[in-house]
Amino acid sequence: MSIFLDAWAMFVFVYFITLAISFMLFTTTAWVSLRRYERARHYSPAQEAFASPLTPGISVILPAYNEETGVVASVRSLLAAHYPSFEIVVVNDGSNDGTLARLQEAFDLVPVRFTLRETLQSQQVHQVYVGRTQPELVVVDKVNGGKSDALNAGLRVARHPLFAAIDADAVLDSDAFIEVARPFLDDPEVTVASGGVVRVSNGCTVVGGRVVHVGFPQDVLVAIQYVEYVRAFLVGRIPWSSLNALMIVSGAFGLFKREAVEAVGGYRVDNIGEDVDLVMRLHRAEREAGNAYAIKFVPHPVCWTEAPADLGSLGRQRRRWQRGLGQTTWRCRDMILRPKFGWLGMGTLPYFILYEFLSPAIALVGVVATVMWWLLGGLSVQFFILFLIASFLLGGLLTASAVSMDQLGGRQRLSNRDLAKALGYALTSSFAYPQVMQAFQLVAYVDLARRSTSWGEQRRRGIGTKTPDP
Amino acid sequence: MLTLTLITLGLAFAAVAWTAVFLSARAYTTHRDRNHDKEINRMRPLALAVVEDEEAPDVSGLTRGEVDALATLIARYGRQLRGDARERLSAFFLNAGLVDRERRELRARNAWRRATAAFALGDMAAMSAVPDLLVALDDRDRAVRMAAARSLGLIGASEAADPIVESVTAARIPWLVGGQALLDIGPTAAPALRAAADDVASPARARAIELLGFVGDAADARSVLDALASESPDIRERGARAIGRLGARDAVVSLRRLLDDPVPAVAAAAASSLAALGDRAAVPDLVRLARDGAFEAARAAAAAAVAIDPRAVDEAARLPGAGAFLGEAADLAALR
Repeated sequence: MSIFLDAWAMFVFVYFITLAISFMLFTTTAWVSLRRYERARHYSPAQEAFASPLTPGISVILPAYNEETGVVASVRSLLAAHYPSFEIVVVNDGSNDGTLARLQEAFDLVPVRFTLRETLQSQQVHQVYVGRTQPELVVVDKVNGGKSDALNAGLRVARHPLFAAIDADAVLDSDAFIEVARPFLDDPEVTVASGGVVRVSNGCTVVGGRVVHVGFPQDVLVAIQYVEYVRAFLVGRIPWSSLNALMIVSGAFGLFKREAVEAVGGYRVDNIGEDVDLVMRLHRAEREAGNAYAIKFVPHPVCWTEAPADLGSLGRQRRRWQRGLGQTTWRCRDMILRPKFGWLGMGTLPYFILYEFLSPAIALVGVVATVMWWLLGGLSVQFFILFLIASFLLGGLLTASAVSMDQLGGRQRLSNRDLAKALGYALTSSFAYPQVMQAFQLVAYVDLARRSTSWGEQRRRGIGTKTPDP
Repeated sequence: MLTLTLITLGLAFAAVAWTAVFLSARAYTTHRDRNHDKEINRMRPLALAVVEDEEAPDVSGLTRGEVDALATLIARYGRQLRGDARERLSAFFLNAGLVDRERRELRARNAWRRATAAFALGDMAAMSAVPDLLVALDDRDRAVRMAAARSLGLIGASEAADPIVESVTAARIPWLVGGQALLDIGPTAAPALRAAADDVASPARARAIELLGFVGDAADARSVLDALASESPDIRERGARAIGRLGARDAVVSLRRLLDDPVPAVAAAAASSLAALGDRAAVPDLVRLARDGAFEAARAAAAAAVAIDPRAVDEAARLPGAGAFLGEAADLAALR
């Protein structure tokens, strides 16, 4: 028993040290890259791409399932997007609420005869509609098949060479598409996908489908998610993107080369983490073909989305994410520690397996081991408490660093009062919240073992505080 | 235990120190940005005066920050302006010494400073800086090369056309950036593009052909017509698109032949160009392709046919075996 505990102690020590070093490395890389990026924006204004006839068109695909609360606001914000050539394809995935009715009422939809690409499959499409006065709006009404299936249906009607996958409850900044398309403009032959930042919209003021005032959430649970998202996107993605080893382009806001996605068979319907699964398959296809390619994270363009405000919805979301990660890493197990897959195989995959997917299990063993130590009289309570404080402080410091990075960039500047709250939550974010999330993630192991495919529902309140009628 | 205690204390101190440093930095940047916004607002009337008035206002009494704010505003306006107004701006920047300042910055050690300077010279319409920007096209940093190409385009420097085409060919700048610069240079870029379009060995041939479609004239149709017989589907596709943009009606027969191209993207491009040329004689072939072709080609053919002759497509869509593309195109056309 004591041999096990000693071995465990050594493992935890190495685990903690390597994790801490990784976080510090990521944070440093993120600072340097972000500063470089902010500078580069001064001499490469994406706005000029707006006036260029060479800028490729985008099909924006919104899968919508029971989104009557926010879908009209989302579509309105997208129709006002600052981009030269685009269409919006809303896919009503068999909703049993008023999603389609709201869209029909708001946009005077007209049914049209339609064609579907046969290179991809989806559940049956009942009807395609087009906005009478806005022909760039297309609504696909189909049999329910899940988010991946809905995205595939959207791809079957999309017209442009690039497509953006957007969540139906998302609100984008007006220049989001121009900014997220930047890698495609700088490297059109090579770029396969790019993703922007997802931020929490709770607490923001939305007018006419645009966030006009960035506020900090009042709700404790949402406030913690706010700082978590900032850290996850800025610190968690920039470093991997710089190594062309980005594992995920967020399903809420990603831009893809349609041809490349069709070539890998579109979205997989049997993987709940459809976003991470698609990106990994793109990596695999491009590497196996020996192509020079890039999948990039762009830190400027923002997609605002409603974060779960109750523990039940949050728990279901985190279970789903953990399931998706598990399914994808299992499918990509042949890429792990393979030099052929570059930093993706040698770095990203091992990191995410060890420090994301397995961290709940390691934490659970840690709890058991701690109890056993205590029962055997081998636990120094002082040491234990100090260790906990040190790890909480380190986590808090790194999260606060991410919030600082975000605020010094000046893009979504909080008021002084909100900033004080954000820093407070950042510095204390490692206490209790990650442990609760790990508990949900542990349940996800059971889901994986049972091969659960349930998406779960999130209770939505609707984004923003006021959206005036047109 | 001691080590852990020290680490913990160190982290606690770092948290406090970090918060203090960050808040100071944030206070500084907020103050700086507010001052900058105030300067921008103060300089706005003066900037408009520079743009609109024949006589440039006196700026000798302005502070460095105010001059920079003024330059930022004028540069922003200048991107949209052409003709006399743009020349007035150019004169303003030259007389204020800002062009010389940016030309010196082109030799800075930091790449981002060189790129910023290369970019600014385009906004300043600094003709005198063209030789410096041509040198910057060969900079070791990609961002500098891109900024230089963009500025040479904005300035309309026709002598930059050949070097930009070479840079695009050698993949030293992205073709979208180089291409837009050539479009900005306009018809005077056509000879350089023609040379690349006629060079069958050039890796940039396809792009050159596409760009010729934007800046060339009817005389360039010959270079582009040859491209329609290329073995490369990419060249055939871009050639087909260019023909439509050039308005080369003599090429309709060749375009109609391309409707049978085995590569759907090529057939689709040919269909789109036939629509641009308004070739009514192509409608039966377009309807046939819409009925029998692969997805992309059929969709493009249906859209082209309805653009040329909506009634014919509406009738064809009602016939048995018409397929879905003609109906889709007819319904979408009815909404426009």
